[in-house]
Amino acid sequence: MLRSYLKVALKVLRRRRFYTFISLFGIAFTLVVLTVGAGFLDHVFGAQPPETRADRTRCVYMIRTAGPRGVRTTTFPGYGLLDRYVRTLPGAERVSLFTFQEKVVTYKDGARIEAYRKYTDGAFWQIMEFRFLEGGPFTARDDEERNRVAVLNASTRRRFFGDGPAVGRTVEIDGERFRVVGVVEDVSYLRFTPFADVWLPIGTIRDESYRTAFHGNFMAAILAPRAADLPRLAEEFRSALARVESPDPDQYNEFTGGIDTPFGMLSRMLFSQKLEENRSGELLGWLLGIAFVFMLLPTVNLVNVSVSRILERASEIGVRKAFGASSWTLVGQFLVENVVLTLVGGLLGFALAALVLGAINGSGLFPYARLELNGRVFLQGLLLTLFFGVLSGAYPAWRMSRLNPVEALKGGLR
Amino acid sequence: MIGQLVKLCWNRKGSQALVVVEVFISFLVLFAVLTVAVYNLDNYRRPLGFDYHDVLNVSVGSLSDAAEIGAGRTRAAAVTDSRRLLGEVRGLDAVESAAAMEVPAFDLTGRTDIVEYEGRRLESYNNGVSDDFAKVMRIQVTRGRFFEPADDGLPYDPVLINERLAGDLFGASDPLGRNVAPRPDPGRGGGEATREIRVVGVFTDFREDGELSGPEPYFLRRNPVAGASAEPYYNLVLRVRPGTPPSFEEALMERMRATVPGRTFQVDPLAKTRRSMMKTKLLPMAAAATIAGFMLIMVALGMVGVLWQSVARRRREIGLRRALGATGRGVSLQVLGELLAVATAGLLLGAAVAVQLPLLGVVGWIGNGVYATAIALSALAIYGLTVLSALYPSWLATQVQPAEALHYE
Repeated sequence: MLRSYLKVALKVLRRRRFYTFISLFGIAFTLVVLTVGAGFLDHVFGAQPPETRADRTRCVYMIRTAGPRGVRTTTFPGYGLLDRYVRTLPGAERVSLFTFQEKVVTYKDGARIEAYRKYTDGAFWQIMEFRFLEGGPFTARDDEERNRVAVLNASTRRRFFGDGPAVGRTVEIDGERFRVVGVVEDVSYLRFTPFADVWLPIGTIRDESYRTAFHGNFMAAILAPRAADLPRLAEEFRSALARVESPDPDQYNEFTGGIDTPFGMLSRMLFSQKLEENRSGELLGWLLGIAFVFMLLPTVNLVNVSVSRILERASEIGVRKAFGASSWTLVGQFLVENVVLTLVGGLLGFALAALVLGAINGSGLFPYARLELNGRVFLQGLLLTLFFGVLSGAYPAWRMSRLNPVEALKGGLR
Repeated sequence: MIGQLVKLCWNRKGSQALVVVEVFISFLVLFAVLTVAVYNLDNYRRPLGFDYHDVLNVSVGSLSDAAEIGAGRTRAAAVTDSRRLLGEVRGLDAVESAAAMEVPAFDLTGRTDIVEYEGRRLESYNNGVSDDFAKVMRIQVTRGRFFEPADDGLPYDPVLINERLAGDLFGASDPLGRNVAPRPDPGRGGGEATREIRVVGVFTDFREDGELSGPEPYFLRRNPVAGASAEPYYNLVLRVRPGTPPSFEEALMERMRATVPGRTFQVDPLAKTRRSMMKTKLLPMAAAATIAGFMLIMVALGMVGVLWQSVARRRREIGLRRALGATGRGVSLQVLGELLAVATAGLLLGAAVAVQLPLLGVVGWIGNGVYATAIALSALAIYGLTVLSALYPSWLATQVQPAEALHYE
């Protein structure tokens, strides 16, 4: 039964090429946009190396301070605050502090080399799993002893040293010389937490004033022993913030913030003005809502075209009804046709989406980004396609099932 | 004629409703994209107010870190550093003039403060600059004068305001020599001491966030770099001689490092900063426009499909009209007219929703003119699309042979 439905479906699609083209165009285009969007979000927020322990890692990104004079600031916390109150969280397995990556310019043989620099500590390399191409990470000891050592990514190694190995050689970053101890694979610019071109020990920061600062450009990554410990850790962090003694209580004495995934951070920034709550659910709801509204137009279009298509086949439906086919059988047949159509459109959409993602990767808009269609995005897209197919097929099928066989056989209908 | 068309459409309202919905949604999509486009184009054609070519921006590393000052390095040391830097770079051969500014250009940050004149309060973007700023940036002063070294001895704080702020605050009257309300100055005497702020000049504009930013009130404060009231600077701008090679940046960097050790520097040509800022702003717009464009193609194709179907279904009706003497032109106009009537219905619904934006003032900084233009352009585009998608089906309608069509029964 299903096989003959499929055969009819393909025949019908081939016969009415124009309608098929319109439908496929709409479906494929919609899916391209949705899968590119999903691929993008997955690349930015999904778990992938070096953040392989994302399920039990949370970070402190932004904090908000408020004072009695009404001055409110939302910034990255300073080293002093994190060192005192976050490194000491009892429930954490490891805590790493690191700076927000900043662009520094180095001149080599008259050429300008731009690189993003991140200062960090030894624990960073134990929380993140970087893939080392040569050498290894610097250690907590390097940080303490202020050893001038650096980890580069592959592209920066090429810029400074060409194709050869770099470990043991000296590199000049922003006017200071460092010994290269390791080279890692490029990390995408869009991976907010680990991204940099050059990683240096915090101890080598020239200006010591960062050590006591409460506002600054530091972040912290916290690794919990197990994912189940995360709620407790969040609670510990909250009470730690409540205990903070402000160095300047006249200016600020109230601290709010939380430990988040990057997605949670975004939701906090968007929906919680005081940064008190993680509103991931709300953000997800908005994203799904936008995707749904976006799908509305092609769906309406598809419904339109489908209605036109059945009305054209009124006499065929009339014959089938006259020979005793029930409304449900007809609805089933039509849904199968529509699902076949959307699946074909879906495959087309995926092929095109892969092209678009490839073009984005090749454009260099986001350094080192490798957006890809992975299995999860593919599955989500497939489900989306089916949903889309059923949604756009339901109304036309219902219209069809209501056709009066006598009128339909005559070919006249309203 | 129109009445008849509307009636014809109403008779088939069930099947037309979906087209109405389609037009409605695509109108809203178009409206959103065009509002942003019109707003930005409108901004783009306004003068920028300064010249970014051959200007290098130097951001001075940890000077900009507010934490540092709290952490013990004295303000005076930072001021000394910025003064020494400025003196040093001025002496370089390739540098025509150099100045300092607080908020760098083209970086999407800004500082606002309240200005007040005779009870009128306005929030205005502003920047603190040194005396040579007008020379480096080629600011056009239209009335009054720019800051000068002799201003050190003034009993008040001089400011220059842009034409827009002059208009908003003073209307047609002359702003020169007027006091805008003094504000508490935390820099001197812990927030209590106040000094008068007096307008000494008017300049065309300084749109620090580039050509795409909206027209904003703006004023420039004087920060003298030297003297008791000086505050440290985070940014230097240098106008270099045309044709200075990029390798100069390296020499400049080394010179500055030698002058004030312990600071970090970043040198960027302003033209380059502007390019990357434009990219950041234009990229999302280009993506949205591409998506909207494809959506419109989809809608147009959908309308062609629906019309085609309706022409095919109404062969007898059309045949009858031809038999009774209607011309091919008349028939094709009918097809087009019906689609236009349906599109108008969707359009009116869309416009009713779109008009809410300016009426409710949801996005305050976009003017009503921009909305009106966007609505008009969207309507025009939708009608254009409608006509385009009706071309082929309406031609098909003229090909109906009355004898054949009537024979069909």
